[in-house]
Amino acid sequence: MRNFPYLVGQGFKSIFRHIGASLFSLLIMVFTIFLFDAASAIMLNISSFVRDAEENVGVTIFFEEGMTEEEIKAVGTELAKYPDVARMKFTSAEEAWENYKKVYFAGNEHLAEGYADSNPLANSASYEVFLNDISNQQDFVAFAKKVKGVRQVNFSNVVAEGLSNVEAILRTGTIVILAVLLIVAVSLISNSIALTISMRSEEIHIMRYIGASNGFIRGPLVLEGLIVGLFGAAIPLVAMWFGYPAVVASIKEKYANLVNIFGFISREELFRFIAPVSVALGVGIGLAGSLFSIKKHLKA
Amino acid sequence: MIEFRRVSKTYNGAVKADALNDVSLSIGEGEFVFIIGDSGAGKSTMIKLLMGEEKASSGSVLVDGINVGKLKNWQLPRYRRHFGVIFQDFRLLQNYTVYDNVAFAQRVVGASRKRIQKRVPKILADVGLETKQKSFPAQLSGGEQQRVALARAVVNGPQYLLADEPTGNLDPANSEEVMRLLESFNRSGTTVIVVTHDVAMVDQFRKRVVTMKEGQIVSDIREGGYDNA
Repeated sequence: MRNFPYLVGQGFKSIFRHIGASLFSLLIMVFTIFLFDAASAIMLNISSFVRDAEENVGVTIFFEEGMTEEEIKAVGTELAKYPDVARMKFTSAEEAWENYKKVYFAGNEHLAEGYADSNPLANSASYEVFLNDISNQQDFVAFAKKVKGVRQVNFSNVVAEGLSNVEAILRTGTIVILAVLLIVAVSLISNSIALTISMRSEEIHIMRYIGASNGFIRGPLVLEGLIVGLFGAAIPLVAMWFGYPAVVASIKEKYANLVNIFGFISREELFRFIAPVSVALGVGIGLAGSLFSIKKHLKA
Repeated sequence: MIEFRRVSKTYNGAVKADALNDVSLSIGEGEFVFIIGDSGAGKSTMIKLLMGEEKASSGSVLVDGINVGKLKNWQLPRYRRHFGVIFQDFRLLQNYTVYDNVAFAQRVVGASRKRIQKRVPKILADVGLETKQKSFPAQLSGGEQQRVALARAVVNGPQYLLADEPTGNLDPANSEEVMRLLESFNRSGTTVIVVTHDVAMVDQFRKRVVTMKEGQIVSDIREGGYDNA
């Protein structure tokens, strides 16, 4: 432990001894981790959108004409038997008409007076059913259509399915690209450490003869990888810290309608995931590169 | 106590080469021994075996009862601290000052800053370099550089001092100076083993002389010289 400040100093010195190779490793590391951070931001937001969709997009069920309140309640009881139902909301024909008037006759309420005696949505009492997992929607729709007294089932799975598909494609693509970049980053760091070993071979030979422990000889090499790794993680995180809110603000401005339906995750929420994982990635890549090179080029 | 017990060393390269062939040798505590012989006689191989850099093909090398060939890699650093080593080409760190070259050896073994600050100037004074502490190796003569290497070799108080052709790059005056220093460290209890071609030094100092030829010891004479090797 007494030598720790010395070893850290040597780690930094090694980086500057071959600054070109070090910067190239750092650049690839930054690119790799930034890609991970950006992909995580997109995927976490898509997951959040899907969650929103699951919570807010329901299946609407209408009943046969002339059904009594008891019969409608019986249909509701039957629908609630589906295992994934999260909640159900009943809207009577009167409530449906009131809601319709609020939306379509806003400011021109007198136009709706012609319908004062007869509700044009008399057969529009409905149950809105929300599921825990939106991927069960198709199954539920098939179930609901078989329930006696159900006239029509309205649902929209375009948004949820589309988002789920985008998320899956993005996840697969990112994993493939990240795997390639991880290998490149580890081999570049390993190469950079090999340069250090070659440049310090005389010093390392002397250290061995003096009785330097393996830790003393390897410490600066491991720390060199670790330092590049930590900077490789820190730079993209700083970029994300300032860049993410700016990108979200820009999207909100351009696609105001979309943003009204879906909420973006906050920067803090995003960083709770990407900060520890990015640091772990940086440290992992740095250590792997160092240890690989030490094992290959530094005999005991 | 250093013991070579029927040690052979063969290098299995493109052509098999016997560097040592059935060598047995004992060096007691506090001795001063010259190992002489032509190039390829096996002198440097003996140093490599002693330092655990190579393993014997057969036989064993024992240092204070420790079988060097059986040491694990992680045990070697601590074992090597029994030795101080100097080389013909000095092997100083060129971007370190004289002081830092010597302090480096202390730092490697985990000495405290206080101990380093106390010990390094004293050792440099012992080898006559107290005024050169801030100089870099390139600013020193060959003799001075070898004295820095010697200071680095003894700063941790090793039991054994190995010198591989220590005067090979020095003029006679500097050679004698370095040999006098080795002798003085020997007088203070350090076992000194000098591998050399330097006829004049061997003849002048009249110490134990072990002569090697083609991987074997051909003579071992107390107070010997090249003249009777």
